[in-house]
Amino acid sequence: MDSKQEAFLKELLADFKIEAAEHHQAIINGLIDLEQNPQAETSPQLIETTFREFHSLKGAARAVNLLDIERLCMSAESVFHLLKEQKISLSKEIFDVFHKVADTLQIMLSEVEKKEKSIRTEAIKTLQRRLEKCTLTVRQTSIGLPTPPTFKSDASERQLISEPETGSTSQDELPTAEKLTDSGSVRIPTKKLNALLNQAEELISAKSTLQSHINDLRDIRSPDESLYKLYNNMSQFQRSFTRMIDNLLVNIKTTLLYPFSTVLDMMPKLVRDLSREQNKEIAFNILGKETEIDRRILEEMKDPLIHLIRNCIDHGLETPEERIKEGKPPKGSLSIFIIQETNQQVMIIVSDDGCGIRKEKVLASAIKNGIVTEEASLKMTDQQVFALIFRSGISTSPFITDLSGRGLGMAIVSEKVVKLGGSISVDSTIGKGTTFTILLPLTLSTFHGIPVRVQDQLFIIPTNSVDLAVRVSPGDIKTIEGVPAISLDGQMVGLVYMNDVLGIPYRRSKKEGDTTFPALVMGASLRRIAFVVDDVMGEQEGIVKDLTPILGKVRNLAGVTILGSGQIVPVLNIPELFESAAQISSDTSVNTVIGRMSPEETKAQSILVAEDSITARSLIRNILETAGYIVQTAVDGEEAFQFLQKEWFDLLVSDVEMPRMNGFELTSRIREDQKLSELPVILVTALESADDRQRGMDAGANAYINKSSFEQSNLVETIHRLI
Amino acid sequence: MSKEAKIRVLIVDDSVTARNLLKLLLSEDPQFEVIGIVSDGAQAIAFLEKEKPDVISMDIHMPVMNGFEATRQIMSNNPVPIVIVSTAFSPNETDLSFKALEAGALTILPRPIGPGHPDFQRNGKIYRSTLKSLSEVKVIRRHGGKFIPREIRETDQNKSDCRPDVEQDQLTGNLVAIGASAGGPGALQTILKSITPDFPAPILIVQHIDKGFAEGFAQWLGHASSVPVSIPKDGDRLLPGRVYLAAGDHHLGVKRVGVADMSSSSPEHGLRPAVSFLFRSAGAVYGKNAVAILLSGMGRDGAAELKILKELGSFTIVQNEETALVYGMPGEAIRLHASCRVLPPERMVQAILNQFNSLKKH
Repeated sequence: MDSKQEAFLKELLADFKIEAAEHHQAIINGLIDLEQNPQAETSPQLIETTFREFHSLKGAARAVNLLDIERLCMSAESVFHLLKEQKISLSKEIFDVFHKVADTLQIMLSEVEKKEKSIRTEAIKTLQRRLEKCTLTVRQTSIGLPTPPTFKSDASERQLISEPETGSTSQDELPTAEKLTDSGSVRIPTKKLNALLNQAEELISAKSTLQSHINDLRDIRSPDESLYKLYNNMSQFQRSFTRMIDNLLVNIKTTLLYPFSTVLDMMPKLVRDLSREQNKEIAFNILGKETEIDRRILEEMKDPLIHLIRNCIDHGLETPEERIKEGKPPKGSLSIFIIQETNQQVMIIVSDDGCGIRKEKVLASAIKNGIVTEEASLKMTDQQVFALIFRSGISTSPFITDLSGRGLGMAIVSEKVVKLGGSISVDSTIGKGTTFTILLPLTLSTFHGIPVRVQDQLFIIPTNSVDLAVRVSPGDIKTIEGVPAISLDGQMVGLVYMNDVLGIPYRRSKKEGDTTFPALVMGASLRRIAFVVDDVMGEQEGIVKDLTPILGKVRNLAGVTILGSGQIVPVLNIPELFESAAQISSDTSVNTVIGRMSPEETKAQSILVAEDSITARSLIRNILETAGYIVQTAVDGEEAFQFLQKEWFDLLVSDVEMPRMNGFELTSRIREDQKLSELPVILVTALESADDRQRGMDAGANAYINKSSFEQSNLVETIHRLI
Repeated sequence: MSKEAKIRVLIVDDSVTARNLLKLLLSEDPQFEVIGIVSDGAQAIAFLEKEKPDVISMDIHMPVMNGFEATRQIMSNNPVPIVIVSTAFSPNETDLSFKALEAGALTILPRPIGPGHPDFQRNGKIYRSTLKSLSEVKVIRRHGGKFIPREIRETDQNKSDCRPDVEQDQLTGNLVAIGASAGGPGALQTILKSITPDFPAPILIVQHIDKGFAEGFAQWLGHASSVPVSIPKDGDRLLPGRVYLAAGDHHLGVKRVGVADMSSSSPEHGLRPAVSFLFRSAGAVYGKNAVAILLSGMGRDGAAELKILKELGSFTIVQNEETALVYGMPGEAIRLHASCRVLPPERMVQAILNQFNSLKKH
């Protein structure tokens, strides 16, 4: 291909990616809606729409020489053509094939620019054959979908859940993609919009610079009348200038508002796939997805929302058999409501009618992880107990899967929400269900920070993370279990020096005679720390800029901001600051209130790795040795079992598919062995069906990690939780 | 066409990627000026109210209003040469495309393939040359997809020097060979409508069309006529009263009397199937017993061979200028004095039957 053609192609691919994503999403929407409501009057319309989406994607793919995509779409299109003509009708098999097609297309679309494709032509041919098979069943299966047995119980189900009537509104607003091409709107690359916003935000510092100049002007003591007049004029100008900037910012932020549908449209598919995988029946409803919110918030919220939904399906909703036993309708209900609370806040409610959160499990896990003491747990209110699930290390699931149960997800969800300036809470009733409520600001609010001086360096602490500022005198400091602490509202709060946390050498610079020093108390109820600083200045408005890529990631820093004086000041990253503070405490063999395992504890532990692939074996060995474990390896289950007979290990990491003895057998042997039965076992495998997970569970494994999502931290975290 | 005059194009396609590809292809030739890009049929019609392009590149499946409906309305209100750009190989799509042909679109082109594919350059060239030649076509207003009956003039300007020597030979029989290109499908449909099962000769047709559309085209023609239309295999028997259409990328001719020849010999005038191959082969096997018709089309394919057939004593017919959407091929045949009759399509079959009957009487 000559360079001109290549330039052509590149240009076209940019259009294609946007267009294809829209078609793909519309295809998924169509499939989900059709599947949920096969008998609906809107079905012919949906079939027509989905047919056209496949068709358009096909045409677009051809224009960029992606013939595999073209072919796959063509096969899908011909099935839809027959559906349209009512020569065949929808069946479970057809949906399965189409979902597979949609999944495959998604992978193919994500790789359009890659040379190496993970989807092989044979795989596409297989899919095409499956699609062709669908067309062969012409009129054979045209009795239609078996009416779901739950269809009629819908009404009673709703009453039982006593949730707001959701109706079918969520299914009625399909053509979001088409809205974008309305003649009244234009497509603008997000990059350009962001650049615009960034520039507009720069004006905030112009605002404070102006303020600081005017202050200087005021401070000049001069009898000169004209100077006073200038000051007056400047002040007046400053007021209108400020208003202009504020208006501009509001307007630009409005252009950055996106409907929730851009993120939520993928959820029905997720719910469908997960429920299928876990043999659960779920009626999924989204209400208010047209509500708009700052695109940056939306992007950040995507993963947390996915996690919440997975959590509801994994832990909340039960299987139809369990539900029937509980006297509930077999089909569970999962809903997302988006409500614009005020013109500044949006509320997201994610609720299910599943089994609810078991308080005693949460507490047991919290006590085990040292987050609360047994004594304290007795006094906690329901709300306080539920709030614990947002803490790292808490999981109520006895079995660790990839999805959830590692006790980290909810902590990350909460951290993200808080970082965006929002809040999250949870309410749950045993047997009735769980409801998560998230409040988010409509737009990313301008950052407010408190400048503090630590030795000679200024830092900014985000205002929303500061609980209160106190002045501490040396006499206030008590030592509790070797930890310096102060008493606040009857609660003891750990005290650390900010310069220690940040690693700034301490030089006494305090004015003589000044015996008290300022400290900022940060964090929430059970995890509060007072950070001692040298000076606290007034609050400052600004924007946080990321560090340049050259600096990359700097510990404890979230970014920088510009003060009114033009000075560039680092902004502290509070969650990291807490971790650093925790480390300092443990280094000086002082334990803060934060229950954390000291690194020494993990050092001496030994792990046996059973894995037949050399590559995987050495990969796992590297990861574990880096994490400080002593590692022994075995090439299969048989050898592993021999090692276990001879030596003591703290934990076993095993592959499933191995010669001689596979991971399931090995696990069962271990559980049967009197000496070994308590050994924690983690299965690492490429198998990913629910059946295999179930088999692993039955065999007695403690955790099950999928190789395809295999990450270093995933494995180490899991080990960490088990030993 | 003078170098200065720009060819003003309206692109109608619902895929932004496809639209941009077509635009890029046209930008290769400075003679083209894309005056509008719209994403469905309704928008195309709205566009035409403001400005009239020389030619429209029309997608077939589109939301709001598809390419067939748009073609139908444009051809009955505000006729403009329309080229249907549609994916081949997908019957539901070709059906609609042929309906658009019936409604007055000039031809169907397969969607050009994107950069990176070996055929990219060739597809682009075909797209440009088709748009270029069809932009000059004077299209006529249609109602409900039907030709408005026009005053038909007898334009047998070459009748005098034409002495067809066709015999109804009981041994060899006769053969009717028809060649057509852009603008031909409508004329072919008209001709086949008046063919009855007792028609005394097999009818062989070469229509320039992308190979992907050949099958759909055969079906479409079949719907219009009361005799079977098929794409023969090499060596098939050719029966009287049947219509045989050239396949996508093979020449069609006769090996010997009554036997189909599907040849993959090299393209002629850059075309395969070529009308020239059909006419030459008909002449070689049937001689004066062949009847040949040359219909609307760009270029010159078949004109010279028609002349040879006429010289052999065959009965040759050329479509008249008034009904030929694209007068390239018929015009060239007239220039070469290759025709015995110059007729509108609706009168061709009768002319052939008259010729046969007059021979019988001899």
